[in-house]
Amino acid sequence: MRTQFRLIVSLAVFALLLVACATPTAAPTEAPQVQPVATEEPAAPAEAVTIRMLVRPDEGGNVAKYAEQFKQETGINVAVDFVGWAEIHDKTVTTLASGGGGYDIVFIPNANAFEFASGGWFEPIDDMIPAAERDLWLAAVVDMYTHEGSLIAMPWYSGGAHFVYNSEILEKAGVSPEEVVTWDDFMAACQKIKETSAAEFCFSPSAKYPGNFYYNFGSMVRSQGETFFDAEGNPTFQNGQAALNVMEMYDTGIKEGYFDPAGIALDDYETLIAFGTGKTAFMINSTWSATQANRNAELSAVTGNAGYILIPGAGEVRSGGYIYAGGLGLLKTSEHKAEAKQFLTYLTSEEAQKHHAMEGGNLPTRVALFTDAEIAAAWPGFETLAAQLPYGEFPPKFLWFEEWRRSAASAVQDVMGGRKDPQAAIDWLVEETNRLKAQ
Amino acid sequence: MGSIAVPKPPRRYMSRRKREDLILAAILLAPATLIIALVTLYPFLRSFWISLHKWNLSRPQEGRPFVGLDNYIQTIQDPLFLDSLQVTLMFVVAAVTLEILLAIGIALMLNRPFRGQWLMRMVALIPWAIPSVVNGIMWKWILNPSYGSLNGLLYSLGIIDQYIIWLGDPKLALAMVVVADIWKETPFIMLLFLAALQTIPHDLYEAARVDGSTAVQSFFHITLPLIRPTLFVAVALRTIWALKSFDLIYTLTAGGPSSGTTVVGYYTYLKSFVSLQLGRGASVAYIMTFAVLLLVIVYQRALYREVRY
Repeated sequence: MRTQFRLIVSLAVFALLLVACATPTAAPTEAPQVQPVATEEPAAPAEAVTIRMLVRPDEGGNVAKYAEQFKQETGINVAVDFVGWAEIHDKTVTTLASGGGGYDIVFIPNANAFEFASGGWFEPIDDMIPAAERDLWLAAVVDMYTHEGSLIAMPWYSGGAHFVYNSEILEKAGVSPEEVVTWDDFMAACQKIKETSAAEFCFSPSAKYPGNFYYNFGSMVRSQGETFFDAEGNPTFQNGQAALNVMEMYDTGIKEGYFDPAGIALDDYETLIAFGTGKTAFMINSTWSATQANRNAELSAVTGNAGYILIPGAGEVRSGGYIYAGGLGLLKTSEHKAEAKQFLTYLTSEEAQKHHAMEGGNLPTRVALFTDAEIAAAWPGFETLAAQLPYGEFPPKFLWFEEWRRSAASAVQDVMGGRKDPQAAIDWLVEETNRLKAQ
Repeated sequence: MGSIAVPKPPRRYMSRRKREDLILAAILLAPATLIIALVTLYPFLRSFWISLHKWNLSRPQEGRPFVGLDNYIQTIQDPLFLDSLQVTLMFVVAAVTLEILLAIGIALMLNRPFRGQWLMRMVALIPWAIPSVVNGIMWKWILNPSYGSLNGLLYSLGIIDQYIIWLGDPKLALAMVVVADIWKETPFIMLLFLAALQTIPHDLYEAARVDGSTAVQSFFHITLPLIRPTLFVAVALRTIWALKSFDLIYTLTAGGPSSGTTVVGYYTYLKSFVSLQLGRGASVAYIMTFAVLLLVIVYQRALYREVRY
């Protein structure tokens, strides 16, 4: 009896499950539509192709606009997954390592280009920028995305470190931005700003990883004409003066009250917010942040007062700094390579890049757009930002470089926090470089 | 030679009902067992296997050669790992001790009848309901040196005369991470203690009071011995969770400044997902696993006692 009861209950549950899993049938319409009789044998409808893309959200507006336009023109869908800047590296690495996650196009920041390319996950796309057309693109960016002789990503945008000032503060202090040509001029301007109490601080440093190297320490050293490593990755910065000068500048800046000590715990985004409060006269930041300081009232209270000059140099060296780029790579595992290439061409076209630039985020990668009058009119300060780019270079491509950047940030933090003197911090960083290189 | 007939042991028949129950139990347990094997056992064994190989995601051309215990040796010799062990130890000891003490104190307060007791119990649990990442971001804003609310509050109360860079010094930053962790995790431990306190018969306290026992004596001679099993669970759980802390550090300090808040969990992340050395990352995870096992055994011996009323 008990067994029979169990059997009945089991059958009932099974029947219910079957009902629940069944595909629901459409409710009947009031009047069934009459299908037109086909005069010819209809072709089987082509299955709609959907390209999947993994990208950061900063360029979301541009991607959405051109994805929609692309769909209307070609019938190909573009599904985009946006992942924030802080998480995109980890998300991308795990996606690539696990076979591509069904994506066709993946965003490659230049900082990870070598790392991702070394994994062999990307399709060579040399045919997308033939040799005859290479001159149309920023050579440095194309080179950055060329791995072992093959182009692995379409150059999408570019940018770099820029020197931003608050015109109101400089005017109050009697400092002309054109006078700030070398780092000595900069420190003299800081002294003036302090003496006149024109601002709480002269400079907002950014000592926290990941922004520190690109937008502070690295660019401040590079702007004095020196580099950090030789071709094999051996440290060279201890042999010159620039790295020590910069560390001494941090030290003096903090001790004299020129630099905001809070910068020890601020990354580049937080530095933008600090500059945006109007309490500091200068900051070094990315193209995106430099632009936001002047244009985005949600992030900055000094919109309209943020101006740009070249990053100061030293001696004969006028300027320098590190630049960055964003590229779009085609995965080897993509099942829609032809369609994905079509979209890559579309999104990196002159029109799309111009739209992106006019929105004021990052600089283009097509040479012709750097002299575009419409972009210059829509983007205040565009000429100066664009003028900084040729002084810059990409950071070195070593697999241990990401870890090294953390160590460099630690060295700067130690100096700013008074835990190490400038020379000791440089010595420690040399040891760290050798350790990371050897592992 | 005559053979001796050995009597067969009586065959133990299982009743049909019992057999059916056993089969049913096995069928019902099968999906859970399968899932546990898939999501726990397989990764556990697989990650151990990975830890014995040199596996660098960004160098697939090098393959995944078997290196034995080389990853473990390299990890133990890495100065950053040794620093992170020290940081982890300080973090765990400070956070767990303060959380346990605070949780017992709050639980004792909430165990006493008062008006609005139920509301206070619910309010006290709110921090625990906040996701860890949100907690990290929230504290990052609170502790911001330029516009953080903690500086604003202390400045307006006249306690400080200039803003403090809470996350600018390695020791202070670690202390702030401990504060953020305490704020988030204490409510859960408090809940455990509150549940344990409610199981203690009131007669014991009344008898002690009649015998002239003070509140402190009652706490040490009645409450504490009777909540000892819960204390073991709380200390063990919190130690395990604190040892594998990652999300709070990731969002609040990113291991800085000067690696002052790089705990072992964060170090594991750096090796696995920044350096992409999966073998090294797995070896660190295993070292931590054994450390946790060891600690739990020590705790069990030191704290766990069966309670009989």
